[in-house]
Amino acid sequence: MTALLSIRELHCSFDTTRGKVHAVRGVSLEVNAGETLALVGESGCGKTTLARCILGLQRPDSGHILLDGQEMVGLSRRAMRPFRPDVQCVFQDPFSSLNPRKRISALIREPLDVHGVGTPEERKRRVLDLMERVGLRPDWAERFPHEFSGGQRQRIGIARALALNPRLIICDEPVSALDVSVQAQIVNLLYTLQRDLGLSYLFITHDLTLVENFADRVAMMYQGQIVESGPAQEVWRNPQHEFTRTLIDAIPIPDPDVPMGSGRKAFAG
Amino acid sequence: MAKDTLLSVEDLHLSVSHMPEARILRGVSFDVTRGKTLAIVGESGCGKSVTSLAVMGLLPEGLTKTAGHIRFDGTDLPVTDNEAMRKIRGDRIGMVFQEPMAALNPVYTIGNQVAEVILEHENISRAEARERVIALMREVGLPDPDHIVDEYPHRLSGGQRQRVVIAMALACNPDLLIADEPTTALDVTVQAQIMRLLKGAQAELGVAIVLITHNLGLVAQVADRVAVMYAGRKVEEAETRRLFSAPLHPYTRGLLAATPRPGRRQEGELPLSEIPGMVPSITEDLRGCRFAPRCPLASDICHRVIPEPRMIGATSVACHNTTETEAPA
Ligand SMILES: Nc1ncnc2c1ncn2[C@@H]1O[C@H](COP(=O)(O)OP(=O)(O)OP(=O)(O)O)[C@@H](O)[C@H]1O
Ligand SMILES: Nc1ncnc2c1ncn2[C@@H]1O[C@H](COP(=O)(O)OP(=O)(O)OP(=O)(O)O)[C@@H](O)[C@H]1O
Ligand SMILES: [Mg+2]
Ligand SMILES: [Mg+2]
Repeated sequence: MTALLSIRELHCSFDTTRGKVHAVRGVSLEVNAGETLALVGESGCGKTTLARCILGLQRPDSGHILLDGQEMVGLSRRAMRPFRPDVQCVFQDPFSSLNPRKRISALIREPLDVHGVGTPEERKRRVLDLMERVGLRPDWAERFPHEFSGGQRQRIGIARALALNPRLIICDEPVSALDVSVQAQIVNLLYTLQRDLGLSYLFITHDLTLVENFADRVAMMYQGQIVESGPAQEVWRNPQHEFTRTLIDAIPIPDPDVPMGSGRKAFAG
Repeated sequence: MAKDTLLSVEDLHLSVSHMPEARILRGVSFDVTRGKTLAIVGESGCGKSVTSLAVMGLLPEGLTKTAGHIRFDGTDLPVTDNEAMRKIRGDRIGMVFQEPMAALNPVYTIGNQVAEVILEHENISRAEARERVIALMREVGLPDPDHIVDEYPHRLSGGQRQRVVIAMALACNPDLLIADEPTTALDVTVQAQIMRLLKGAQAELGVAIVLITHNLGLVAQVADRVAVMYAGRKVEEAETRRLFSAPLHPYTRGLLAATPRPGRRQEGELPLSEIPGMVPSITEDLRGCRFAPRCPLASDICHRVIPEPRMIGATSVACHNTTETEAPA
């Protein structure tokens, strides 16, 4: 079986005034069809850079990105175009990623317009279908983003990401800016969409407990490299790398009987 | 007011000045005990930050206190007297916010900024102040204090900046520290260090802490008591262990159930438990309980009558229908 997404020995660096910043240092990972891979690591370890490479927004120095076995690295914009709909993204801050002057219906329709999908009538119907799927009321279609709460804006972002029937959605901290209760609604929505549509997620997050509750597998990133990966619950129960252990120990557990700094005990069960 | 009560907020009401129907706080009361930590949790927009700003006399333009008392160490806080409040803020109440850069001036070295706070309140020389600053930086765990003292804020990491802000807040040995989402922007490892630092300062200096956060994990680990707010009201308050083991308000129960926790996932189930629906807006005029539209226990009275806080056991809860026996074991 070939993985849906397969990354091999990927490197990506930036030239800055401080010199060369080597953000991604030989990353290899796979995401299978219908699964959620969580990508976890400290601030600045290279998670967003890796995501931008997969989305074709950032050119890697070297390495391979295979989508269904097809090499993406080195393709021209034109050659890449037919594959674009397959990989979509949802970002942390839905507000800054939505054009404030566009109505909700236009924002969700935008990817369909860009890729010339269907007749105007069909697009309109598709937008209403999408809104229903993500839990937005159809009579909100003509409103503007500022009229919505953070959770609702994230639903708009998800509807937009779904418009082109992607196979993989890269979620970069999609619920970090949300409340506990709104976060639960959005995570459950992502889960339901995955179950119904067979989507795969690359889910970037800081919330390690959420990873254990939501992801199938986890890849731990440290200073540009993947240092440990495996089934989420197994890694949390029995972390192998020093960095993973430090991180899990530091998780504040919502139980007053688990003292600070002993996260690993809570996950070991 | 009990003798060991440091801060007492009583029936605080806040509105938007030009929109009196936009009622942001609808009668919030709580006490903070000397040397203890009170956590305030609740949905985004429920009024946690404005409550702390009101205490510090820093309400933003456009918000008005329409009723209520704020007493600090036995006397009413002079919230309208800017000069008096400035003195209290530096001397007796320290504050730490989510974004440390907002509290730091990019054009001065961090050492000068912390020294400034000390010099404003104490009659010592610059050289003495500098020594104090270096000692403080060592206490908050900044690396190489003799050199970092001359650095500018932008040259530090997020976690280091937050340590500088904490050093500033502790510089005058305050009695009360208000920390509004102090670690939300930081990695879990840095978060744990900052929390240890705050608890250490509390143990050593006896400072009382008001910790505002969304993170129920942090609350479980560092708070002595927890106040839960919902849409401008306090709906429940209890000692931490009690709140986690026997939550009484349906909103508190929903919040705890929605929180990710180790081993919660069951095969084939949704990953997390949801509270259906949304918070009402600050202008929405509900006659009864503001949680009623989302509440699994809501009955007729909940839509008509505002529930006043009452004691069930040692928990204060504002709900018509909850009973202790319903609390999960
Ligand atoms: N466009 C850029 N130019 C220069 N350096 C960059 C650029 N983008 C990222 N970097 C650097 O690359 C490294 C990795 O950044 P990246 O944004 O991928 O981290 P991250 O893991 O997503 O962090 P966070 O959790 O804070 O979002 C950092 O050192 C960052 O400063
Ligand atoms: N200057 C202002 N003018 C008008 N409304 C305001 C102002 N400041 C805050 N509000 C409103 O007051 C309410 C409470 O805001 P507050 O910032 O205290 O919420 P919070 O509980 O701290 O939320 P969060 O968890 O998102 O920080 C919100 O509805 C907010 O929109
Ligand atoms: Mg990032
Ligand atoms: Mg706030």
